[in-house]
Amino acid sequence: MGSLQQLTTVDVIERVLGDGTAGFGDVRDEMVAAHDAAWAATSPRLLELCRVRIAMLLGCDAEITSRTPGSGVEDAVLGALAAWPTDSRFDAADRACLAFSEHFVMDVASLGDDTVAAVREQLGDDGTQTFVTALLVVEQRIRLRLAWDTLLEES
Amino acid sequence: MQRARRVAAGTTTHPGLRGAVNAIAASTVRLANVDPVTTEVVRIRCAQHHDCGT
Repeated sequence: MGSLQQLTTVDVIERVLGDGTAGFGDVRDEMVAAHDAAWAATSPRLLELCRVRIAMLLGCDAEITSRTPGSGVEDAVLGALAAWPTDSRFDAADRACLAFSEHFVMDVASLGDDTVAAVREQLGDDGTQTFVTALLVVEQRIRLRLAWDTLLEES
Repeated sequence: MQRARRVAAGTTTHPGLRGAVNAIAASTVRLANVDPVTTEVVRIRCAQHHDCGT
């Protein structure tokens, strides 16, 4: 692969995950497809709030400052994201999903029944399962980006 | 650790998203850049952490 320092994060992802030749599949393309599917399958507003909150908690500046087109979330609301438990611009569904997301990203194995039940109350069972799957896709993308950026010392 | 089910039996993920996530998993294990033993060890460790019985 050569010196990592000579490559950008995008270059490395292309070379490591974009291995679409010789029948090895193409993880990069599948990840892009899953990312698109996540936004199509759940509320773009909820997912955008949770994406940016996860980026804040993980310290991913690139994801904090980026915006998802069509999410319908105003910058002022994202700017108040750390105050979601008390800020009136966040409704019950926002709060349930943000509480879930914060716990999910910090310690998924200890997610409590009450935290899950709050999301179920807002989204229903199918909606909750779909939301969690979409959240996984978004979180993995941010973690992978951070890992590559750290490895390549770009962040 | 095995928790009780927290969504009703028969709950489904949006089919387009479920298929896309499954496709990531399938393409990941087909990668030639990581040896299969490492891939399997990491997969099992993640399943344990996420309390995933499948």
